[in-house]
Amino acid sequence: MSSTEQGTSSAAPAEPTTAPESAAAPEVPESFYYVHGKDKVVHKVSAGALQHSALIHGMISNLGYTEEQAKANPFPFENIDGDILQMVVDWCNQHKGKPTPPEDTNLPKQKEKLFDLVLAVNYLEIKELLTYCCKQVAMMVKGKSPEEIREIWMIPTDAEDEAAEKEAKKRAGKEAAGETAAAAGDAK
Amino acid sequence: MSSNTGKSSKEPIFKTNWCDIPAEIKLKCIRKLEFKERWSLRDTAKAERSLVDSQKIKFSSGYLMSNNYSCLSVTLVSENGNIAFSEYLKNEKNVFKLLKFIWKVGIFENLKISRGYIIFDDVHDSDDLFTENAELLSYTEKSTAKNIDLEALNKENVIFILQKLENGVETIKLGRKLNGPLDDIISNSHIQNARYWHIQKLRDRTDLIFKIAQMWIDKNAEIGSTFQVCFDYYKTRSEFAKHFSDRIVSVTHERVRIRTNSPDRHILLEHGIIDHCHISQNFRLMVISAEMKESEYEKNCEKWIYYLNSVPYKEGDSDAESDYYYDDY
Repeated sequence: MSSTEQGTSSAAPAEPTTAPESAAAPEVPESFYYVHGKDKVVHKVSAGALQHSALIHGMISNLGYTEEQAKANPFPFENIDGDILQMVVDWCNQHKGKPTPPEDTNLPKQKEKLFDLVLAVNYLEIKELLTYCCKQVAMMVKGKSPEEIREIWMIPTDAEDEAAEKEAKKRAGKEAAGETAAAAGDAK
Repeated sequence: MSSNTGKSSKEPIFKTNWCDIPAEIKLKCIRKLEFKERWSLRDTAKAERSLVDSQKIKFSSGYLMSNNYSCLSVTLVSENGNIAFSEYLKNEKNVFKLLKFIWKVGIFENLKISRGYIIFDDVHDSDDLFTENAELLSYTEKSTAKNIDLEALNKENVIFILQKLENGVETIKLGRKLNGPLDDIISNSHIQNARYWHIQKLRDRTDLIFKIAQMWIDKNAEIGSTFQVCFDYYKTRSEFAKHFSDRIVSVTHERVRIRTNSPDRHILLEHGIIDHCHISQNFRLMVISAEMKESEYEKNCEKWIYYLNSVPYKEGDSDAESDYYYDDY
């Protein structure tokens, strides 16, 4: 299992120091967690960056993991492709502790990845990034005709939809009939 | 890009696509689409149409104008001031399809519906854009508009449109084509609750003023409720004073002030007289505070008279007109 470390320059826990009386409260050392996607590549991400994800933030908020425990228990997101998770981690690191701007120019430009990113971001509940992604999806069809939109987003026509539905019903019927026949054979 | 519905060789085939996105995310994306793209998307498939139709869209202004040939000119201005949609449709089927969609999803700050680019009464009463179309008559969706201007529409069309509006209409401007008794207009809930409404020009319907004043008395209308009208008939003020003789607070050459049933509010009828114009008689009826002093009356009637007699909307000069109208009432 390989590991990538983005935005982790302060990975080593800071030595506890005695704060002077006039200074503010001592800085709490930043904690890190580990996530991996379908490709099993582990990404080390700070708790601060992960705050963007309501899902992960909810998962880690009560864990109280030590660095070792966190490393030993990476969060598995098997439903997210490795490169997509990498994009998400990058975005979270870039926007760690910063107010999100109204426009985001750092989103992936590859259209073919956008829908996968949308699904991942929706699953991880990263509200701001989802907003940007939806805007990007909308931009794909700006000024397009119905035919062009159907082509770009690969929307089947109603006729195609109905045909696919009929085919699926037919297949399900056949499978059910096969199962019934098999069960009857077993009973004999 | 090819306009064929088949797969284009130039476009990549995505592993995950629009159809793989859950409906709630599709809705988020649809909310980011401009009106034109939503209008296109709803034509791709039934499922998309249903999603698109479920999402409201806000406009600062909407102008729907038709002529005598089932044509419709549509201009929609988005909240940021950009033209969101501007089309001239000739095909009747498309006209009604678009009208119904706009009506269903639009939330308008200002909405103007007009029967052609007219200056005077040059459109026949039988030219009913809405009430002669069975498909539209049976349409039950309601639209939302804060300020509505129904210029050059006859009474049937005005009532038809008002009935298809959600609550919350603040100002209503009616044009020059209203004839006959207007009781059904006065009894409309939007008219009764409007902060401001006017009829640009009306022939010999003096009793309308009495009826509006009585309606306001009966429903204890809010202070500030205002109605304006331009009549050909100059005796309105004296007949109003006679009609409400038991409620008179004061009568002058230009104003009649009457009591309502509520001790905190009065109704004031003002006769706007401009030296150089004797043909039309302009009247303003307002619910005012009973505390209002005569010294607080608006001395310059030209401002409100101007609005009644302003030239009907033409593309390009809408801003000046709407600024005055909507800011001042």
